[in-house]
Amino acid sequence: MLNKDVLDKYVKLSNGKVGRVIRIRSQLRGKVVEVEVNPSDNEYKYELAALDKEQALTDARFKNLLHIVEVIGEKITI
Amino acid sequence: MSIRNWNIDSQEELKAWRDNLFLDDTDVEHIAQKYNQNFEEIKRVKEYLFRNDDLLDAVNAKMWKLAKSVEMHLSVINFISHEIIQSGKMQREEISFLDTSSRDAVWRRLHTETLVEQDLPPEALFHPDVITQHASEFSSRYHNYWK
Repeated sequence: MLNKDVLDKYVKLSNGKVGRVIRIRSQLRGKVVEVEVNPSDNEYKYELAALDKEQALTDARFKNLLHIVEVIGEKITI
Repeated sequence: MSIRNWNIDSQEELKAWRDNLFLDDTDVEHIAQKYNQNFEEIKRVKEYLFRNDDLLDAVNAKMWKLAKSVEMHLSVINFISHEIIQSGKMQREEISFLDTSSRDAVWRRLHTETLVEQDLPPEALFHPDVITQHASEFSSRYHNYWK
């Protein structure tokens, strides 16, 4: 996925949460997105996820990161 | 569009910049003095941001360059304060800054807690010129924040 495909978009993460991509970090290991979610009690407002699903599943440097399951679009439609 | 010449845009430039950074701590002394912070805390932030190869990021490097420069901007104060608090939390939990997966595991909690303590949104942490230079990495709210 390209940056423009996810930036400012709502995405579904591999933990089932839905949130908006607010930043993409271009780290030496690869791209990581910051996602702002609507937390319920005892949860946190920001999540980190790998931009590349394959990298998240196979690369040890991404062991504790979520990945993007689906790009939902500009707004959440219920 | 900013006309700054950062010289750290490729991965090779970034790694070379980082390697050079750790030759001495004159940057730490300067930033600690400029922002009236403790030397050891700024040294910890330097280790936290730049020692781990996996997490090297040109955005953080450019914010550090701004911190070292003669300029003063609120975003740099916010950025330095954020990294002091967050790296301190991580150190107290005895997580090695070189352990990428452990850092990832606690980031969402520590990042959220730190922003709450600072009473800041995440877009307040980055200089508008850095946001402009990395336009495709920041959402619209970052671009609009300093206008």
